[in-house]
Amino acid sequence: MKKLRIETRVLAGFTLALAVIAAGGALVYHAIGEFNATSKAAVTSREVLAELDGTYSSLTQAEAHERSFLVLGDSSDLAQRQAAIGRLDVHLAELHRLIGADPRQRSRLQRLTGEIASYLRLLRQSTPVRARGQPVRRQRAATLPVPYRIRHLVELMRQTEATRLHLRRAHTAMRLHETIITLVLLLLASAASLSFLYIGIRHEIRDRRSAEDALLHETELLSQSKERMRAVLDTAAEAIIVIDGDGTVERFNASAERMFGWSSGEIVGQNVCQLLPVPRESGVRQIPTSPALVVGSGCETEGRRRGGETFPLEISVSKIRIAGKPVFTSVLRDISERRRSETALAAAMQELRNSNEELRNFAYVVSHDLKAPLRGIGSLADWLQADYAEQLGSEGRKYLQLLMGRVRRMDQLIDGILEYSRVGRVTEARTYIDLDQVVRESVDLLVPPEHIRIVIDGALPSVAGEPTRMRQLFQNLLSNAIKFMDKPHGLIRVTAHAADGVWHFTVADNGPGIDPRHHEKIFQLFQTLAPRDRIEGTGVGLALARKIVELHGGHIWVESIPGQGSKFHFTFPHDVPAEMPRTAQVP
Amino acid sequence: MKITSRPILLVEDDDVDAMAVIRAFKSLHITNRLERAENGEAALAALRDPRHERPCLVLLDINMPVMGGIEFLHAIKDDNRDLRCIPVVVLTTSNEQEDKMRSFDLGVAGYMKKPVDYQQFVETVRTIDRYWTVSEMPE
Repeated sequence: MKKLRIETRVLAGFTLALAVIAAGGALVYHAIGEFNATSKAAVTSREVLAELDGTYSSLTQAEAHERSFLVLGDSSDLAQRQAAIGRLDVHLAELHRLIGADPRQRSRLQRLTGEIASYLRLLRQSTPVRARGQPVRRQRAATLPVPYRIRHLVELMRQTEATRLHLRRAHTAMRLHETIITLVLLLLASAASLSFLYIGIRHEIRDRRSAEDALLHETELLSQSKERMRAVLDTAAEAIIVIDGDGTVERFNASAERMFGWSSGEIVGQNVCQLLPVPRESGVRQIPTSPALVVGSGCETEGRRRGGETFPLEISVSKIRIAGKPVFTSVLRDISERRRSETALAAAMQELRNSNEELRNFAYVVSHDLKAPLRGIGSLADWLQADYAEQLGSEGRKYLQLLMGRVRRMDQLIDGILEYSRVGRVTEARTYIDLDQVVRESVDLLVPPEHIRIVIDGALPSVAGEPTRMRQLFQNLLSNAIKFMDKPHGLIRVTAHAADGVWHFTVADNGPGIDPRHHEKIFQLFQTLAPRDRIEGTGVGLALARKIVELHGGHIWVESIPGQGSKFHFTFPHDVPAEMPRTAQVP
Repeated sequence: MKITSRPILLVEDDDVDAMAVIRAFKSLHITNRLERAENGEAALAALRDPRHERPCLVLLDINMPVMGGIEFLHAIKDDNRDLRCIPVVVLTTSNEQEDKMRSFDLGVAGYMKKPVDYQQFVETVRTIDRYWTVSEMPE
């Protein structure tokens, strides 16, 4: 665009200068032509004047010789008179030629010629008389002089010609003056336009030079950035392939060389199909011109190594436009290893699912197949006691009582196992649970004996979780505290405070406390510290509590001084843990 | 029971559990004749037999061989002989939420867990009897 403008400007400048020069030339040519014409005319005028003088002088000479002949009768005068008349004729003829087309001078010349002719006739009339020997009278001789009319005509013509010559000279001088002014003006204009052109060109050259400098600088920067880019490409851990809109490989970095087994030189210029044979990914936009290419990030597809071996890879393609042409930068990652671990993980997951399923089935089997015979034993023992009390005797009845007690304990154990297995397996919808209400309800449900006081310090917060499990958690901890209380004035205190992104709860009692060496053991399934015959317990409660707390993303631990009491601490995160299911799930 | 003239059908595979029901009926003086089917299929055959007297109540165990309680409930729900009008009370060991939901979904009139303690079991049967003494049932 700019270039065009510059050229137009230069062209316009030159055209202007040329036009000025041409105009000047034309003017000069014209002036010279006019000069020539004027000079020629001046020469003619001068010739005319000379001829007029010649005519008059020839005429007077003819007259003088005539008179001399008439007076002296010398015949040599006659010859001289004839010679003068001959010159006169030559002068007149010359005048006729020179006068040309001027009508006034021409008519004067004609009149002059006529007058001269009649004068010469007069001269010739006197001559024969003298030749016959008769003297010419003096008075007649006096009539001979050149008549006034001829003199007057010659004078007029002289004056006219002189005036014309003068006018021509003046005109030429004026023209010359004008021409000089015009020429000066034209030269000035031409100088101005050339200067303008020069300035323009100079300006342009300067602009171009600075543009060239800038270009040079940019080229340098570009080459630097190119180098940098190449360095980045070649040191990148990921394989990077740059492809044009047709799928032709433009760049192939070192990692890509290692990944595919081709060298950059071998693959640049080839179609990318050679590397990415079959795009398996759907749901991402495909580039129509190169079906092997998909734009997107984290798409998984298959690559083909030099030997033809295929391998899974993850590809992220981004599209950019360079000079209006699309260019695709693909970052590829060999995910064979990931695939292997995914497969291994999937297998492990399947195994876990299977074992969970087994556990579930086990729980179901326990609940039905163990409970039914247990109930049978219980029923039969009951009926034996009822129907055969007499025959059994006191010892037999005691045995049956023990039998029925063990049946009940086993039933509780089975229930415990079922409950424990149900936590995390059967999930409820997550809601915000007002723990204040949960704890108060639990206290009401547990009906603590008169000597035990349960205090809730301040209002307990609401947390997100499974309502049933929350209830179980607090019930287990509170019932443990009540069950093991050994002091005449039992005090159980429930507190909560926010700390470091979590809710920290404490259930503290002034009961017997727990020996530190058991602090870990008590949270394990079926671990009890008191003989079951003394204090009924299945050893499920705290294991269940730990499972519930951990399922909600928290931790549980105990702090205790034996003889003074125990503090059960547990936390719940303020935010709902991600692994917690958000919807009810009934298997 | 509101209706004493018609039998009660007990669908139960465990003999001792069946004996427990019979014993509880006896001790609670429930006079209805107690019939027993050992699984869902036998119960269904009995209910579909036109010569067989239609029971006023079905006591149904869930976990049984051949045809379990849930399958039996499906069968009578799809039956076109008004079998679904007979009230069914589930009497089972299963405490599974899934069993409870399915049972009620299939229109049971109650769901009782069999306690391991016989005395408690008698109380459960007493509750069933009381309820169906007060509640109306289809003729």
